[in-house]
Amino acid sequence: MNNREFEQKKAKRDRRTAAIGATAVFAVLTALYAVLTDLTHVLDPVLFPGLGVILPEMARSSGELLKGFLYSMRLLIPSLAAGILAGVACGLAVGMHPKVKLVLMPLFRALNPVPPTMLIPYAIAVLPSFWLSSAVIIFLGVFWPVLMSTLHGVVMLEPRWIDNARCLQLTGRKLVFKVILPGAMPQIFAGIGSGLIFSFILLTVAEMFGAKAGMGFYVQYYADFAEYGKVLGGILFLSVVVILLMTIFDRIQRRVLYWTNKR
Amino acid sequence: MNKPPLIELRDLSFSHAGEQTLAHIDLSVAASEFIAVIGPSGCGKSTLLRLVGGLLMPSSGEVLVGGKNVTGPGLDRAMVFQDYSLFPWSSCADNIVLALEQARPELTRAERRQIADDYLTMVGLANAGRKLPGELSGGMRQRAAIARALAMNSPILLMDEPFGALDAITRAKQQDMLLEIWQAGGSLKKTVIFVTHDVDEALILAGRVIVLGVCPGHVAADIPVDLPRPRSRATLMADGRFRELRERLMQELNDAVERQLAASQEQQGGSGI
Repeated sequence: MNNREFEQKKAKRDRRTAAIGATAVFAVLTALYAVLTDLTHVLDPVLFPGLGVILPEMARSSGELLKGFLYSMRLLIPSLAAGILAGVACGLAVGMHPKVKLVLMPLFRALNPVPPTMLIPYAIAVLPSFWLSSAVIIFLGVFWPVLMSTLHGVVMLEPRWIDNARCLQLTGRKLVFKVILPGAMPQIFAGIGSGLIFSFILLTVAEMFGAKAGMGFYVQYYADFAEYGKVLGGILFLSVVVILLMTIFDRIQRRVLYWTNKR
Repeated sequence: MNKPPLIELRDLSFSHAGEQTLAHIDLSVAASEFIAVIGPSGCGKSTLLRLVGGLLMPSSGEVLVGGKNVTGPGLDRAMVFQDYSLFPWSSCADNIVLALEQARPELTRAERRQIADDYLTMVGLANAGRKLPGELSGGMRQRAAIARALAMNSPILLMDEPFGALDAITRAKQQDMLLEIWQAGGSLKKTVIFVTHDVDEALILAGRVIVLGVCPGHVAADIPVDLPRPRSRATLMADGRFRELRERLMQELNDAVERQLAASQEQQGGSGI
């Protein structure tokens, strides 16, 4: 098990290098911005307010930002969850029935590339509330990549796993939950990853169109008043939120797909 | 050998994509027999095993197990493949428990856990139950796969080059272990069909060796291995009868390979150079 210890040490070292390196890069960029704004005033002070403006603005509107965050999450989380669940369920159901897949694949190929942003004006017109129309847009943005990757995952299942399942006479639920779902999980997670990134884009775009609150609304609202200190503060806040959500996603992924790097 | 055959292949042929892999195979295996199937690569020995396992369906002829036509895989036939009998996302113990849920549904949860642990201990993996298959060495993984096949309590064990990917020493150890476990079965020994391309392995383990010829696969020889049991590797290697059998098997395999070469040259000649 010496090898393992070595691997663990190496991983620890790598993590430290990454943490120190990333912090350094971040610090240099922040300092550069400070030099260009507060210190030398090279950049336009209205469009590029200094850190001395942005940070106090962020602190002042922390209540508003937090409210916006909660509002955004109330839209994002259910839409995201529904998109993932529906994508995986449909992907498994269709992927496990080759004939159904044969019939539906052309439809999927036609609908999949339609950018959900294109549907925003129409969704707002058709659906009764802003929340529902945005939720549907985000849902679609997550649903398609997850559906396609789940289908791919089912196709990519190794024949030996199928042989194995057949020898054990696994059928129905057990076949799905013990073999097909775990076997397709690497692809499913790839789909969820891109769906997650789409969902952030769609969330903020949708909020800029017609919301009364939320992180996208915050940025749009203060941009209209040319309060760019708040705009940049909002963008900064949003990126921190995205980083946190991506970190959570990575953690879950590493946990679920633990077996893939132990093969 | 007056017992009725447990496994019977009758005029079995198999073709895939217009190419015949097996032709007119007749073979009977009695209960508690340990037979090895040997032949050059491409002779269809794995196909033969998959047909008995029910993973493939014959093009013509039939496969009977216990007098009944095989229509698909069954829990009465546990299979061990070369390197992939376990699901990589479940621990070794969980893999065995899943197999037990299928093969022995009458057991309680705790009993299944216990049996999984017992069989893992039996193959020398007492502490590896919670490990993922990918965390084990190839030899340990195969032992876990064998533990699973044994735990299922299937009367028939179908093994497709289970030690093919292992180094010589590990392979010898696995053979000894398998032999020991099989012999411990007493009058309830499992019926084993063991596919291999290793002559020594076939002679050490089996009571009968079937040599498959090529183009298409057919039974080229059916050789009883009349070596006394329990066998030990050390005494066998010095045994005159062992060397005689080894010589004969080598000869049979050589002939098969030569025929294969001749046939492929003929084919090339036919296509016109």
